[in-house]
Amino acid sequence: MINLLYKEFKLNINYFFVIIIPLSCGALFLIPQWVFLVAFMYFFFISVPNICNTCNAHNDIGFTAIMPVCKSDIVKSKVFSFILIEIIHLLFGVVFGFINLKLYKTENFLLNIDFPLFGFALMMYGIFNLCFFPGYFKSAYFYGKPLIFAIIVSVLFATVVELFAIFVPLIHILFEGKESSQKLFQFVFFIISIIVFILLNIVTVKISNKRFESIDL
Amino acid sequence: MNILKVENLCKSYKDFQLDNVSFTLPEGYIMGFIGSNGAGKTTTLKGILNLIHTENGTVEILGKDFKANEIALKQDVAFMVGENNYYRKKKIGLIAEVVSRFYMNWDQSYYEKLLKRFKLDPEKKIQELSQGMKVKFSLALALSHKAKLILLDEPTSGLDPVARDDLLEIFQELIEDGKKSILFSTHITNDLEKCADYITFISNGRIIESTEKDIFLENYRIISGSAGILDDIKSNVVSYKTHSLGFSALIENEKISKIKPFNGSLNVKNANLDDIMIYFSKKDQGGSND
Repeated sequence: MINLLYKEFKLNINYFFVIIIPLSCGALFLIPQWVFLVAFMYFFFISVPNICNTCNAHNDIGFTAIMPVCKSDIVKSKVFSFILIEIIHLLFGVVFGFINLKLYKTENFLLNIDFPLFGFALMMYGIFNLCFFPGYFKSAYFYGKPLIFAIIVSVLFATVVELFAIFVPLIHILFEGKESSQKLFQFVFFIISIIVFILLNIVTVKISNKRFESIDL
Repeated sequence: MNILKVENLCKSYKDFQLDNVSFTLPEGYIMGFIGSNGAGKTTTLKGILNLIHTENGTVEILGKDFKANEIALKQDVAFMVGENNYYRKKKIGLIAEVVSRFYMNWDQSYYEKLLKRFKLDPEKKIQELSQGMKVKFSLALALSHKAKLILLDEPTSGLDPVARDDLLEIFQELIEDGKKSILFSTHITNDLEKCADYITFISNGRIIESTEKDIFLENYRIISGSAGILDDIKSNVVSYKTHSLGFSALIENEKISKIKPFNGSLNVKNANLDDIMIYFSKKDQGGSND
């Protein structure tokens, strides 16, 4: 599995998508008063189609399948490589979010830069993976339709989250409140988000495995 | 000992069927897997490696069931597809470094020796290699992880005669130790006349014959004669072609005796691999070319 991940990052995924894009997207947190969930979306707007395209151009799946590896490990390595990049996006978001808070010292008009924002970002990535990979592994080649579907669902999720955070008072108080009980709730919510992210990815791997096992290469 | 044993491999597509494909490849030999385009060569090779879901049949490599021991057996198997266009923009040194991590028996010093022998520069990218060099690189990878069974799908297609000859010599050297076997599919039958010990002939998804090359060639004859006697012998030939001078046909050697009465007016000559392929493909298309 480690070897497959190594192969992903050495042969398929350019460092541009591992460092430069996440760094640039993180830097978007320096924009004052913005929809910060969008900063995380550039991963699937830019990086995912490019990575998939490179895999296809490299005949990566065909090459990997003839090596001594399980088909299920091929699926896991693809999903894990995305998870790693998503986490890098999140980490840069945290770093630049921290700088934003120090610079502007004001609240954001949409979701604040705080635990709930990063929790929702994780959930959005989990939803994206769940919508994308099972569709992609129906063929292990065509990524267009699964990508469009996953983008639509992820953007809808983010839109609903941002709107609810402003217009539904209870949610606004819970996710944006400054009292210690609300802060505790927000931290617990972030932990729950991590668990949801993990669960969504476990389901993603299971469904993708089933689909990948059933196709001829 | 058989290094590869394929039994009753079946796979159905909408317009094509792999029909009970069976053959064996002994240790230390080269087997040519021949058939026209679309005959089922690549499908069979993919079926052997479990890359497609076969409906029936078993594959044994080194005496072990392949499906049950896939990961372990893949350590001893190398598979190369003709176009060989993997990671075109990457340097071969990097690809080898990544691939080496997957094989327990990887021998780095042997790999470096092979690169020198094949005159491959590790700094070159795949796209900068000629077709022949790409095949050599694949062989270098296969040999460096000590593959015992090397499956090559159309390795010589697209190569000039010099590169092909060079490659065939390498194939022969590889099996000299008697421990490795090569199964390579091709429709360039000249290659097999130079280096194959065994021939497996597939036509329209069915194995027509799998035997030693000399026996295979001995089993068929080309007959030709005037058009007037064609109707009398039609039922005994594999297929035939008619032309302005009469006809020519492929016949199994054992059926020659059945057309004895006409021997005086027939020319009989040995068939080569091309002849056998051509006449069998005619048979699949409907029997004759009038």
